[in-house]
Amino acid sequence: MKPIGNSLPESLKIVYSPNDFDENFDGYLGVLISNVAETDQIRYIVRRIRLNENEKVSLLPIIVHHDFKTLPDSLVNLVDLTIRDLTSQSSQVAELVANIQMALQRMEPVENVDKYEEYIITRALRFIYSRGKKVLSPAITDDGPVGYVHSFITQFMDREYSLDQYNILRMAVKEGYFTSEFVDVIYLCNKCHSGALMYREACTTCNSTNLVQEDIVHHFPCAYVGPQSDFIVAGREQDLICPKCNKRLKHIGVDYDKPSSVFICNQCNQRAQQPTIMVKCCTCLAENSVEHLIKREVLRYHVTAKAMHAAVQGTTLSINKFSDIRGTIPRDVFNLFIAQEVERMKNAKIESYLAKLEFPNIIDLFHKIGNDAQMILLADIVNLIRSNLASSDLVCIENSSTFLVALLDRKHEDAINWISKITIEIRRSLKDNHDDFRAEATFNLKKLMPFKEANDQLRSLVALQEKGS
Amino acid sequence: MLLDYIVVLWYAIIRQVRQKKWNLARFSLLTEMPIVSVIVPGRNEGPHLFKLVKSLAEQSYTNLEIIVVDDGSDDQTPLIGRSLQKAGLITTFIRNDERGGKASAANLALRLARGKFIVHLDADSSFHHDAIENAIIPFYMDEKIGGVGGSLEVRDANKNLCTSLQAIEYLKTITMGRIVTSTLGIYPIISGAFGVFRKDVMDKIRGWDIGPGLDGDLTVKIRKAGFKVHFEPTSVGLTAVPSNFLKLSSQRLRWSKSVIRFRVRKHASVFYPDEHFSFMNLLASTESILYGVIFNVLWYFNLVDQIIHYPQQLIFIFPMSFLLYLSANVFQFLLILTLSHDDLFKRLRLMPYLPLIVIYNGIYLRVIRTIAHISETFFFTSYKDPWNPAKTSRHAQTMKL
Repeated sequence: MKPIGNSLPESLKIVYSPNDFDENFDGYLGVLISNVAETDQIRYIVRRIRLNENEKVSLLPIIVHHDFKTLPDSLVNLVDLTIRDLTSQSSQVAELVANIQMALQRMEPVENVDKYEEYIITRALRFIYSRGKKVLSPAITDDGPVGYVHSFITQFMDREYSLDQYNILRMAVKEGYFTSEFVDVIYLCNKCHSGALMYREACTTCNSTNLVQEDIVHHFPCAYVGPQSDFIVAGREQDLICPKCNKRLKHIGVDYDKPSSVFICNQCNQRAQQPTIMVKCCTCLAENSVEHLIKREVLRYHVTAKAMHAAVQGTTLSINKFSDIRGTIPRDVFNLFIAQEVERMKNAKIESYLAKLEFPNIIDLFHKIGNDAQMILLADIVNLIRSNLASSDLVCIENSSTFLVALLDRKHEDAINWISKITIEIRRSLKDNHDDFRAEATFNLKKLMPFKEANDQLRSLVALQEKGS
Repeated sequence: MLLDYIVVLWYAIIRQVRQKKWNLARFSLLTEMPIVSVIVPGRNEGPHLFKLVKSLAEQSYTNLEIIVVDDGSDDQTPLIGRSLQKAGLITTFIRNDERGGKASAANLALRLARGKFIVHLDADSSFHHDAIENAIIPFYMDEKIGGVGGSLEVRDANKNLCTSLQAIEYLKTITMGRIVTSTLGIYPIISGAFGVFRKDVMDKIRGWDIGPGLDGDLTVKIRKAGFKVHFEPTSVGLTAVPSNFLKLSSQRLRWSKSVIRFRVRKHASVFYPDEHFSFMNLLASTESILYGVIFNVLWYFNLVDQIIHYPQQLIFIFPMSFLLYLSANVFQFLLILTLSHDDLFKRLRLMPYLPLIVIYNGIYLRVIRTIAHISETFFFTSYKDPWNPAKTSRHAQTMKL
């Protein structure tokens, strides 16, 4: 590798190793990672930059200067340029940095984002826009547990939760921020969602993988049929000798043929032509049958004009993760209805209440059962809530563990009774369906005030700490 | 015929006596509960498989493994077989892409079988709930028994004239005829549609040889190996029979040729007084050849003789012969009804066909037999029968099998 010469743009912060890496990027327009030998070290530095809370740092152009090997796609997707010779490629570097800086200058500062999914999508879109790209492509990796990664999304996740990338991107498609295009399909462990799977042929009876496959040989003259090993005689291994008539098999198709083959289990001696395919998860060691694996489509995502506009303006991209759950309304609609209820209360002598139900440790259960089962469970909880409500009452899922309920035109005593009863019922239901899980539950009840801002009332309810459990 | 009646009477008497021995054998069987391998070799039999396995699932004897070998079917059989295996209704399903003939499919099933006994079935058969149990019990009554034939009855007896006539024929020749031959110790053929064999005996005789007519051939091989064969009338299976005379003729031509091919040619050694000589084997083969071939030929001589020497009396001889045969048939049929009261009403409905059975047996089957014997004796046509693939028949003919 040629030494870095005078042609290096001075505005680049040069990092030679993870040890001399500091997070002072003031005045720098980009980062040059140079002569770092190990891919993992490069990855570490890149992640430190891209995950920086300060967007001015996280969106800095990153150039990797090396000549030892090709970087994996999952890492290439996070850097802006890889170069072998800085001298000859300095103008390319300069142009790249200039373009990205111009794009960054066009972008308005981003609003505060509370929700995890919205935070990730907003940052991903602003990264894509600043690089002049319009596509978010998956990269094959042996590093993550699911085989494919959308690097900019998965870098925010712990390794074991990288399946969430598909859920987040699916939600973003639903909100109209991306259109998608099929790339591939992956199969994941039903238990831990890992894509590191070993496929093996197994016995249809005892599931043992201790199988041998043998050709079946048919000797025409005497009609003997059996595995090829039946035709092997000690001392004459080069010949096939019929065990029934002791004749030597001469010519396939003339005096014998091989009409099929069979798997024989060394464990239980079961014979089958189509063994069961068993799949062992290399991560959690669980045995899955093929039909019980989780199937996920891997997609390439094209950014829509709507998303691009929001990315430039710094607008939060709202994502309603729970829009599929019947009986709930999105938070913004909930806010609107509460505002209307407050207006109605000004003219009518009625009482209405806002309730917050929270199950703090239910997140542990969700991690255990996976995303699909989580949605089913949330839908079940909403069903339980709705079955004890009037049709005019409103339910909104604030987040995976928190439900907001508007109890309209209700007396205080009824509201208290309802929230106590429903909390007990949900806890009991969770206990009945998940043996080793004991749900913690808290609730808050707040009377709507006609002369206070609806949004303020909601905010204070959400911020309230637990009332009871 | 008189001998038949005496033997049947004898059988009816000893049946009561052997009941105690039967109960002890049944106790031994149910104590040991060995694996019984039900093997179903066949081609394009998929549509029958579900009904068959349902019938087997109802069996009183439950320690069964079911092995189906698909001999190169070109229909949905592989799909059906694999689905039934996946559903756990079949223990092993093996598909041979290349057709090898029924003997090869049966031999493969035999090779893969793990049971102490082998039940060989046709896929289009179904069975009374105690059929398999009753077919295995005789093995525990006499350790020299190597094979047991079950009783076969026609499933669609009342479908049409053709099936009704065959239903009567099966009752006469199988239910009654085989009681007689089995009691005399000369039972000649364990039907391929329902036969039970000791696995060790089958291994000793190396299974089936190339057909057609392989079930009769196998029975002779068991006998020649020094084992007895037994007919068990309480072990009942129902089988599908050809529903028109064209198909029936083709089937009977095939069956009749096997008498010449196997009894006369391949197993002629039973007539030689060598170290393997057995009087009962001699008697069994003699009975088959005498009644099946020689008396058949003599009938024509007798007919020609009557036409030449007694032309005026023919007008009396034919009606008299007809009445004589009819009387014998009616008597025999009534005897069958007394032997077993199962399906009495169904069997009684066959009675109006008894006059026709005289024509069916005396003329139709006789002509078929004659054609078969001539064509096999002089032209070796069984080796050209498409029932068996040419690639194996060619070798069988060369090796005089």
